[in-house]
Amino acid sequence: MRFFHYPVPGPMRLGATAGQDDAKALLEQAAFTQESATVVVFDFAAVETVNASYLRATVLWLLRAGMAFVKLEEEGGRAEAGGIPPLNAIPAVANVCDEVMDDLSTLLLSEGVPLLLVERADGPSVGRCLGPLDRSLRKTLAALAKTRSATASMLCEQFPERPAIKPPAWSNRLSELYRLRLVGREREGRQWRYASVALEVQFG
Amino acid sequence: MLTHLDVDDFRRLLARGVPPPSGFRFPGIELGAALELASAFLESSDDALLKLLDAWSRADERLAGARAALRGAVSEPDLFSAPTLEFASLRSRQDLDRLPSRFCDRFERSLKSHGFGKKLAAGIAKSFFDMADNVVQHSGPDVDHPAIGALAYEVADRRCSFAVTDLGRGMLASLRTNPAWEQLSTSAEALDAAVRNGASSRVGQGKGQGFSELHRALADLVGWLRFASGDAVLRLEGEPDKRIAPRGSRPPLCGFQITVSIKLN
Repeated sequence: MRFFHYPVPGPMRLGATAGQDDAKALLEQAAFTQESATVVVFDFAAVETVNASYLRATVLWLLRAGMAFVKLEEEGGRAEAGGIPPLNAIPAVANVCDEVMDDLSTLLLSEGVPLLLVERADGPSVGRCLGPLDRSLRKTLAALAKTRSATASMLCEQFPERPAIKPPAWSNRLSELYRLRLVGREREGRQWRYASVALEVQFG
Repeated sequence: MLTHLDVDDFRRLLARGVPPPSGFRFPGIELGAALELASAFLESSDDALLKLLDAWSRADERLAGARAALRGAVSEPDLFSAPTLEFASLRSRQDLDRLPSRFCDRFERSLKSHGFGKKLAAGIAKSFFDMADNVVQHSGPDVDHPAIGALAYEVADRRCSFAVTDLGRGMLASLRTNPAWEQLSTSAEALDAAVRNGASSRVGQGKGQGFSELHRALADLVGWLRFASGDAVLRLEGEPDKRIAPRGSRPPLCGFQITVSIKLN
C-alpha cells in the first residue's frame, strides 16, 4: 500500500460540481495501479465548510470506485460504461474540523458506510473509524491493526475467542473489511494477507 | 400578491390571446413566482407585454430583480452585508464558483440576523447552493455549458424563501440521458422520479441526493417546496413529516424551477 496526500482546497467546498473538479484532479495526480492499493487521504486542514454533495462527489465517489474495484476483482466482467471507474483505492480523511465532521458523519450514516479518519496524511498513523460498522468487524479491524498485517489463520491463532472463531469466519470478516475499503490485501500463497491502514484503530 | 397560480393563469390567458384585463392593479408578486414570470417572458418580443412587465417591475423589486438576474445585470451588494432580498445571475461556471463565499454567505448572515440558528442557517444556505449547483450539473449538455439561470432569496423575521430557475433542457430531458431513466415519458413522471425517488442523470452513481439534502435541512420547519419543469408541478406542503405532495400542471416552460418557502415554528 502507498499513501497519497490530497489537500482539499479551502476554505469552502460546496456542491457536486466542485467535487467533480477535485475528483478529476485527484485522478490525474494519484496514479492508481491495480496491483497495489493507494490510500488516498483527503486532507481537510484548509477547509471550514463542505456539504454532502461535495463529500459525495469526492470521498464517497472514491469509496464507490474502490468498491467497484473489489467487485470487479471478485466477480470479473467489465466496468459499467460511463459509471464509476474501478480504482484500487482506499479513501481516508484527515484534519477534519467540527463543522465538516458533522456533515461527514451524517452522510456516512445515511449511506451506511464506514470511513477512516487518520492522524497523518503521508503514512500510517492512529486512525478512528467513522460511520457504522458491525461489532464483529470492529473487533477484526482492531485485531488487524495490532498485527499491522495478517492472514485469517494468523488472526485466528493470535486472537483466540470463546466461543471459538474459525479461520473461515475470520476470512469472511477480513474480506468484508476489504470490500468496505478499510484494509488492503495481497496474495500470499493460497491465502490473502490483509494489511491495516492505521497503526491503531479507535471507534466512534 | 401574485402567486405561482396567478402567473400560470396569466400565461394561459396570454397563450389564448386574451390581454390582461384593463385597469388591473398589480399587487406585487411572490419571489418564486417573479422568477418564473421573468423566465417565461425573458425572450418575448411582444412590445405590449414588455411594457406591462416594465411597469410591474417598477412597482415590485422582486420582478425587477428577477428580470435583471436573468439578463445577467444584477449589481452585487457589499461583501459583508446581510440583505433581506438578493438576486444572482447564473450563466457560467464562474458565476457558480463565486456563490458560496458571496451570495450564500450573505444569505446565511441574513438568516442568522432574522431568528434562524447558526446551524440551521448554514444548512439552508448549503441546500440553496445545491439547487444552484443543479443548474450547472443538469441544465445544459455538460457542466461547462449550463443554461441561463438565476436565483434569489428573501428573508424576513423567522421566515424566508428562496428560488432558482433555469431555462435549460428540463428535468425530463436531463434524466433521460441516464439509461436507467430513459423510460420516463412526461415531465410529471420526471419530477416525481427526481424529487421522490432520487432519480439522477448521473450514470452509475447511485441515487441523486440533492433533494433529500434539502428535505433534511428543512425537516423540522413548516413551509412548502414547489418543483416545476416542462408542464408539470410538484408541491410539497404542510407540517414536517406530514408533507403532502399535490401534483399540478402549468403552461409549459423550459428548464427547471424550484421555490422553497419556510418559517420557523
